[in-house]
Amino acid sequence: MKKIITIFILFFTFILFANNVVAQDADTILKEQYENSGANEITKEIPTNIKEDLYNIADGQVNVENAGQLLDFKRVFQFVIDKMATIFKSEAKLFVTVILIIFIYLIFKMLFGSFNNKSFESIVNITITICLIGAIFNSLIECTNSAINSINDISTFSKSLIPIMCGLMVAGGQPVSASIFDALLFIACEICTYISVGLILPLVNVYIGLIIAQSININVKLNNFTGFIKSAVNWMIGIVFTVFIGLMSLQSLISGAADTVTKRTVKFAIGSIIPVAGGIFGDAMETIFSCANSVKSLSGVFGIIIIALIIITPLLTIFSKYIIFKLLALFSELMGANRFSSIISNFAGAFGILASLTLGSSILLISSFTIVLMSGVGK
Amino acid sequence: MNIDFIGIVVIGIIVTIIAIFLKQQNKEYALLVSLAGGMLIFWFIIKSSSEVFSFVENIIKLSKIPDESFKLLLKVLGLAYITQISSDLCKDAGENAIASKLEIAGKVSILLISIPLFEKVIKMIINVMG
Repeated sequence: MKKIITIFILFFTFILFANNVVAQDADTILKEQYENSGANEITKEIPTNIKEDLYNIADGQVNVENAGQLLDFKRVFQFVIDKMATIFKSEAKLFVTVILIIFIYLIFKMLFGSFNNKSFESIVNITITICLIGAIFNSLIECTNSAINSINDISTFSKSLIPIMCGLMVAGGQPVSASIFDALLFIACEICTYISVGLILPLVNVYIGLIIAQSININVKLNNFTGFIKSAVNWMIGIVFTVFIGLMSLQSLISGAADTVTKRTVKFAIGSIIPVAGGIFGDAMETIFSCANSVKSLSGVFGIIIIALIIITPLLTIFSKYIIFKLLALFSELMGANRFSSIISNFAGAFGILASLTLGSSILLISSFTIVLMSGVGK
Repeated sequence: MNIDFIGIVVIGIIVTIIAIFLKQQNKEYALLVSLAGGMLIFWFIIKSSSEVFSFVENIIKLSKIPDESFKLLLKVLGLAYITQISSDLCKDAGENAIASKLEIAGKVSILLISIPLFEKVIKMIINVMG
């Protein structure tokens, strides 16, 4: 009986001791992996203006380990509301200016209304339209530049995140996935750069040129053209998105299976080749893989949050301006200035195109990183 | 607004009555009277509309529209009024051919004034698309 009790006591002491060792080891491994993988270095790659937003949301604690705190719904909602309020305040000046220009147009339209000759009125129309475009033009260019810079920023940030994520994938026992996603994520970043430099700027410029041309001749109808560009952009984003995300999902399935086979083979090999301690080594390897996956998940979530933060300000600005311009178009239509209503509406269309491209490129990157994060889950 | 609308109406009616009477005896005098009446009414309008223009000027200052655009609009407005009044006078005198030529002259003058504006538009399009 004594023997049995002694064996039991020894057995439980061993389990208790072993658990402590494993727990302590896991913490140490986790800390080491944070430092060695460069996950903590991600914060250095964040643009300065985004760091301020991040400090506001996270109450000054900005690092990968606290990524979960950044997902607090109340704080994020408050942040979005504050941003919207700031944007609307800054755009109020533009709103008032456009309304005053519409008033001036109506006064001159009334003064010229007594003439039988339409050519006198057309000069007034063109002059006021140019003033209107002058007032709106800077706002649109500012918005376009902000969208382009943000897309470039998310592309640059993602490029700095790729080696960290892929390194952690290799450490987490996913070497095949790491080699495939490395290339695919890089392609996603390149697509974003192409969208910002090769697509947004020329499209918006052609569009503004056509709006100015319309100011001279109101018979130039841009509605169909706007619709065409919008649907072309949406189709293009849709196709790129579907093909790319589809490809990534399929690759994640294939590479995930290959990784599982590799991982189990290595574990089996260690367990069989190393005598006595083979099983312990196998379990230790599993712990290291799990820690690496945990660091990868937190780094990925942190990266996605940063991408979302980079893109949210220009996106909210575009969205706010879209609403303001739609309201102004409605106002001018109510006031009987139909000419301006169509011009302002067309400008709102330009903001719509900008929003599609900005949102499309950010979703492409966010989805790509999400697939990368999901690839290691549950294996 | 301090427009002497009743005064303008009275002048208009008196000038019309005098012109009708004079037309039966001497058409040239009737024309001169209607011309003088028209000028008087126009002067009254200009005098009263100064308040309108200062109001528009204030709105323009608030909206930060460039001054040159406002000046151009005023020039075009002035030219359009002068062309319209002179053309109507010619039509009253039965000189429709001269009236239409005056209108053409008015349009050409407005076009000449607004050439810088068209240049600005073309430059703007080239800058944007280039």
